[in-house]
Amino acid sequence: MTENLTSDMLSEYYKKKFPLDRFISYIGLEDFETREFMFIVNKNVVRNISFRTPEKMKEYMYSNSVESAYVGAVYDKPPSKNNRVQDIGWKYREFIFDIDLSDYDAHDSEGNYVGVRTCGCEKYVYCEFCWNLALEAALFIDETMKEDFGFKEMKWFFSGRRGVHGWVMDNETRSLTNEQRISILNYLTMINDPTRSQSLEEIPNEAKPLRNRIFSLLVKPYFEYVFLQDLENPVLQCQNCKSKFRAYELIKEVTGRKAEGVRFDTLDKRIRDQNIKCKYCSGPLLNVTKIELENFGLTELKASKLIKQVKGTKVFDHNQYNLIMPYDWKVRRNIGNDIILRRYPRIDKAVSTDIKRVSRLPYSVHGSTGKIAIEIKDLKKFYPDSAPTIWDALV
Amino acid sequence: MSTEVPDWFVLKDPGNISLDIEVGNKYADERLDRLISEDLWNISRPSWMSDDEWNKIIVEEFGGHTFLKLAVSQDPRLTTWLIEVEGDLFEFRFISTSSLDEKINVLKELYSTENVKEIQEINEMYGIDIYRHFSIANIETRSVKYTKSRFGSNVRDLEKKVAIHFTKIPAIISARKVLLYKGWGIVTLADIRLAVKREFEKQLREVVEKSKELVVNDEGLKAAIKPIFDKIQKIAKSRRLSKDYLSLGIDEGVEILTKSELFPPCIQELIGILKSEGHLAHMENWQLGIFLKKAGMTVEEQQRFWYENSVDNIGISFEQFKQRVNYQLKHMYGKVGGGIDYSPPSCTKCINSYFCYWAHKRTDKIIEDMKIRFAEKDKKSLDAAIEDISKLQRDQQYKKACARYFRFLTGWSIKGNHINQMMSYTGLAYKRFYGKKDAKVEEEEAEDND
Repeated sequence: MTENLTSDMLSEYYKKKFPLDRFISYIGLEDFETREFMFIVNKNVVRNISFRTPEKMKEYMYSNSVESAYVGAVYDKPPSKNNRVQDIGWKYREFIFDIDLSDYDAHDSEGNYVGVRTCGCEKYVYCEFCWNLALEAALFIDETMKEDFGFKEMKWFFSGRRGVHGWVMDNETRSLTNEQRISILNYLTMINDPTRSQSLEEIPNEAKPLRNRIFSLLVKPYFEYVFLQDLENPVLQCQNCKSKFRAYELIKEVTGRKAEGVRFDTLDKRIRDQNIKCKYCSGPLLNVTKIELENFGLTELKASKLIKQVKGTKVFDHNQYNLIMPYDWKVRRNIGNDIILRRYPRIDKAVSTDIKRVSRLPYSVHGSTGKIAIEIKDLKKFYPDSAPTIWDALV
Repeated sequence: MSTEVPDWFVLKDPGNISLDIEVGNKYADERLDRLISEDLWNISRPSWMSDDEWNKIIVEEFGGHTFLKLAVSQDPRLTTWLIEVEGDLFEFRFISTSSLDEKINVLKELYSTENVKEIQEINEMYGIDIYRHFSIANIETRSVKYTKSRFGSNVRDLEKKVAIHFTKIPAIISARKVLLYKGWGIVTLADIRLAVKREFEKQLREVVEKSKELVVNDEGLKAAIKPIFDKIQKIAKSRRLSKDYLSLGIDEGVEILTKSELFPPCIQELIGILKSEGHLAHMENWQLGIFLKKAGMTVEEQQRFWYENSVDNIGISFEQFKQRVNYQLKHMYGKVGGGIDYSPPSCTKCINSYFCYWAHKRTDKIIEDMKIRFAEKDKKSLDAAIEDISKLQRDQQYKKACARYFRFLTGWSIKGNHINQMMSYTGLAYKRFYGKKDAKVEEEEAEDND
């Protein structure tokens, strides 16, 4: 709990501001008695708890000033200390997706960051740039659930810190078996091993809607956020100490002259001629962006053409795929893999498939940040900083 | 009798059929012979056939199937066997029936009517043209070609597409071998072939489980099916006993593990690691699996063995576990994939890329193990063996170290360097330890020792 977040505040929030009716509209009143809840009270986890009425739950929440609240599955008996959820029969649970920005992080064996977030954010930290990843993932899943699986309604909730939770509201999803949940997750998952010791799964041929969606939703942001940025301002890496620099800033710092818009050839020549070295250890510099492009099988000219084309199209349609993507199949595959690696949704599988798992209770307060896990009405406009906090709510 | 579901679909309700016990046994016997000879057959009614003649065929079909079902329900291993062969027969009939309607009716029977739709119905439901919308066509995919190459020219309509609700085909959804639209998985019949077979097998298993109760409570029925039950058991047993298996003098597959102290040290070690840690490296899984196959375990027994010992099973039922490992296990037995009946890797291969007890285990640990294991043996000869073995191991003479170990264990010198060969030595050792030595082997040994 943060220093400013007192138990009085929590108590007051749950007593006066917590929208109980709205919460009930998400989970429904039927079987409320036999639904499991989990709370964190005085830093202790309280599981296997159920309430006869929603009011009783609210009473428990404000009288104990719960720091975090979670909602679980429905069982055939009311969960309690004597009827633990492990021992009683499971009935159903909502189908929930969890997207967390920290799932996009990864570290190699030496502890270096090898994740997807290139903006420098890590763990709990996020910025508008990397928040796009969570946003795209949510939009992608939303569309997949509706178009491919035929579900009608999906609600998105802020997780309170750096992610979102997607609830599929259709009643038929509640009784999906573990096997069916796993199959949906497998259908959606392309990256099985975030540390990247396994190869990526290729974009499927049979699953055309999924493939088209990758092109229509992920390709544009990929070219805009990942591809474009490096090409406009190439990355230089010191061969000795491995520190990375943006070429233009470094050149301006060292020579005092602008370098924007310089082509690779000129850039390399300038580094060589003006003897620009690493500013920490004076080691020789390498143009990483150039190497990356070469690995793709692209030249600088082709790459900038590609970006220009994608930038010019407002909505990237899969039908334009052949017009925009290079004809060389190797290049296509490399780019395809890179899109999946850098932009494809990363879902916390266990949250969706573990049928006894608890999930943050909508409109409860996140114990560490004080933010409220609100329902997100418009995904595209939402940013965590704009989410109300308990302090806002109590004013 | 229902006119929609074809008569070759044995899970359907056959209507009123009355059958003599004797005749039933005879039909079951005939069906058994055909199933064993792997002669897959189709039944269809030619236009010239009279009702009586056709009914006779139906009675034969359902009567034989029912009696077999009742007979195998008493023994779980026989149940699995019957389900497997009936599954093969069903698959053959499903893909080779000439009518697309029949196929769709079978799908509707298996997955229930509301979960199966024709593409035309989907188009009408959502007001689109699936084929045009996703630019797809009924073309011969790789899986169609593969099925044709496997089953010959009998294959029909496999490039045609049907829509099945996604909740019914989780394995296909997982593999993304499907075009999903509004909850409907649009698949070619070729892609769904195996899933359909599995569903059939699952439902047949349920039916057999039910008939088990029927037989248990009815002594008369039990006596009636006795002849066919005895016959199946005899056949199943003789089929399961491979040559290697017999050389061990053991006639029960699972019993093989009760004598695991006679396995080559690498295999013993792998079983030990598996039991204590719950998993092995990929190559080690393969090494152990192939060895156990060669030692006489059936696919079913291996499923049980891995389920009991590996950690992959946590939180999943045996049925789910089986589905997960079935392909790998069957692959080892050459029943799927390339169809190669693999042999265990040679010692050289084990040393280089699999697991070798002598090459990959530390000397002090080996000595420790030996001291514990042979605590009852003569101390002098144990010390001599340990000294020899550690010297050989130091010199990287792993095969010789293994042979020395075996000599110490049994008192015989060993020739060859292959786990396969190790198997036959294991058999000899078994006979020596458990007193099942026969005269012929004794003579050979006497010659060897001379």
